Amino acid sequence: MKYKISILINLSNILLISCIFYVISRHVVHLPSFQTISPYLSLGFLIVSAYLAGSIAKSLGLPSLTGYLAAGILFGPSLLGFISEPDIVSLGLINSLALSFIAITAGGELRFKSIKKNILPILGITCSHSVIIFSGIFVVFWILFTSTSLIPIPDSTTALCFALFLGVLALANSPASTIAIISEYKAKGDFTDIVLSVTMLKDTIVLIGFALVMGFATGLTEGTTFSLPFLMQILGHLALSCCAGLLYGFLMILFFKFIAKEISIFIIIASFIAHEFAHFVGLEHMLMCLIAGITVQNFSRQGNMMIEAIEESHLPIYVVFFSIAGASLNFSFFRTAFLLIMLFVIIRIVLILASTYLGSKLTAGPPTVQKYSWTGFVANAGLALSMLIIIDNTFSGWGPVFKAIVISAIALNQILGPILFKYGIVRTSEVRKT
Amino acid sequence: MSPKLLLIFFIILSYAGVFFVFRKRSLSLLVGMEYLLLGFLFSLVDIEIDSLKPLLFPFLGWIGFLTGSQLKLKYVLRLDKKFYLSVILFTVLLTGTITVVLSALLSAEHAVLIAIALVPISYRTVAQFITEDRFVLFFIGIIPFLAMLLLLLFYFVRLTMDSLLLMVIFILVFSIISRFILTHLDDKKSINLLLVGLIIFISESCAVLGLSSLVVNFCVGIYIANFCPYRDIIFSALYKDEKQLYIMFLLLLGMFAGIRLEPAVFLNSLLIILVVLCCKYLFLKITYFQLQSHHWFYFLAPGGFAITLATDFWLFEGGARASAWFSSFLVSVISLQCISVLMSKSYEV
Repeated sequence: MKYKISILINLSNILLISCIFYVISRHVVHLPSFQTISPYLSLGFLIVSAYLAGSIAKSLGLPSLTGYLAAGILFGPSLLGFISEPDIVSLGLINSLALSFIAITAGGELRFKSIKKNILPILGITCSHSVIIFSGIFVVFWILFTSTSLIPIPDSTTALCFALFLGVLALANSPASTIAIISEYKAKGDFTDIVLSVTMLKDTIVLIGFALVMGFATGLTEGTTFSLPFLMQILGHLALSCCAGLLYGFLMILFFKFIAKEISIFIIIASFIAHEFAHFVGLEHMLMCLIAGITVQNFSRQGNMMIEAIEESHLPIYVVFFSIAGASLNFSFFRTAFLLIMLFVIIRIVLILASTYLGSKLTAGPPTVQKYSWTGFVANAGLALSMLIIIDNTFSGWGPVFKAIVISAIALNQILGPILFKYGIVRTSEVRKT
Repeated sequence: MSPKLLLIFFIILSYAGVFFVFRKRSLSLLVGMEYLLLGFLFSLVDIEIDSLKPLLFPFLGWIGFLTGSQLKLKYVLRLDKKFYLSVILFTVLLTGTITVVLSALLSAEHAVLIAIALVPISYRTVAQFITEDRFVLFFIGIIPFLAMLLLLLFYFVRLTMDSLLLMVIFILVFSIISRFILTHLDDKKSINLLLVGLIIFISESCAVLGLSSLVVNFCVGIYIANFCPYRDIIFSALYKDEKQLYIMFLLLLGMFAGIRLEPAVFLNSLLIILVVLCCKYLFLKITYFQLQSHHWFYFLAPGGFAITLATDFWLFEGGARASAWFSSFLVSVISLQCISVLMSKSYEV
């Protein structure tokens, strides 16, 4: 009964605040569109409504993250349209800051001690995922595209590129969601360590895999050949990002050692600088921040100080990041490509389940990991979305259709993922906060 | 280089600069004015930051909310009527006198506003020198609330009937909604986040509707302070970050407002300073106000709150870069602050 009342109160609060936002934006000032209003008004509205939606999700036994995402989707351009697309673009600054912050957090959570303890299951699951999910999705969808008329694909080259990119995107996870759920439930243990380590490791593999497929697909469509220097260039780029991250991590250690004041603010500013710097010199900012976080945690005594400060300031970052992420998810192709989207989501989950079980069984991972760790690999968002933008910009012929279809699938994965992961950590009894 | 990166670079540089230049030489009594000066300096760098200007509204809103949330009516009603009368008379008469004299220099509107803004006395500066006289400290602590009420009155006279009605309606609606949302919190730890969201929402709504973000948030703050069960938690959550808030606000204001480097601006500033010096000297010497036992230059510093009051109107007018009256006002505030601190320090020595 208490939960029901709490849900009702929060729902009525959301309704009230939405009405005010609607009146201000549409009726009182008679503005021609939402675009003339400051994006910070939308930000304030999103923070309040996402927080309230998070409370509703919590009352329903779901992760708060699902509520933040739901608020973003509901008020975003694809449903009610309260938050416009230009607003989302304007708030990109906060979004990129949040991504770097999450990457530093993820790095800070990776302790060499616990990785060393579970090194075999981590490598086993990563390898089996990389092989089974990528090849499984590629084979199934290539056969489907060439032998059925699921979606109109002009030629076999496009079908091949479509299937290859789907394979790589299926492999990607959402470190942000994983970290957010771990932080919310303060989860700790083998299961949590393994899921987090595999997620991070896989994202590095996805980055390399994506660059390789990108080179291959560009070669196919433009008639050029895939070369060894190109591969070296990609690997060099990643190595450089790692080196920059290492250096940045040591700079952060210097701050923690000699100044150690206003640490929460420092981490937010450090995340922002890392993002802007990586963007400026053309490095992978997620990888750079991840390595910086790992460096602080494993090469200094200040790792715990950093994690404590992060725990103090993570809530606003998650609320803003996930509500904006929800608002940027587009469901416009959901009806037209319903079958394809559902097939992709279901086959991906089945492959994740099978490959996780196989990988952990072969490496004699703990029984809880064998049984439930697949739940941590369903969500996929940030990295997959940024790869989709690159595909859209590079392949003007089929890129936009591909992007529209896959975004709907990502949206579904992103809604399902946190719920499943929460179920997983509850079942393995690694939750420290209820 | 990216403007955003430059902005962050400036902020870090300011923190480091203030620490090494001011703090190491024990010149920290400027209560944040050094950040305003640094903001002016950075405004000379040619970078495009105008898109970030709406950020000033939530800062004003936060200060308004914080001020309002200190005003608990049950305590206010308990105070001595004589005391009230002396504070009200001091504030109103001083404002009136400064307005009358400044009207010869500036437009009536700007004269009133500058007078309202320059009447408050920096509590932090005074508290550095007067530590034991509770009456004086309390007297000074009440003036900002009266200045806020005068600003509210100023807007009531200046606004059209429609805008006035809109402002009253929005104050009521936002107060009720904020109270409703803040009363039904699931987790008290997340109160900061909800406050940030609400203040940004209210302040940006005011900016869109052409209302004063400071005044609306001040009124919402008063309502919360008197009718919300979590008022104490809310107040401590707001008060905890007051220093950082003022630092960021003054730095950003300096960058966005800039300064007009013209002789007329400095001449106006000089005249404003002289007027304030004379008026405050006269009023502080009146025995009825019971402030004459301390040296009058302790009470010269207007503090960060004075800047907040004037910034609200500057933004209300459109927030033109390097506006003549606003530049003169800012130069006067910084100068008065410096005069007060330097004279007080030399007197102490």
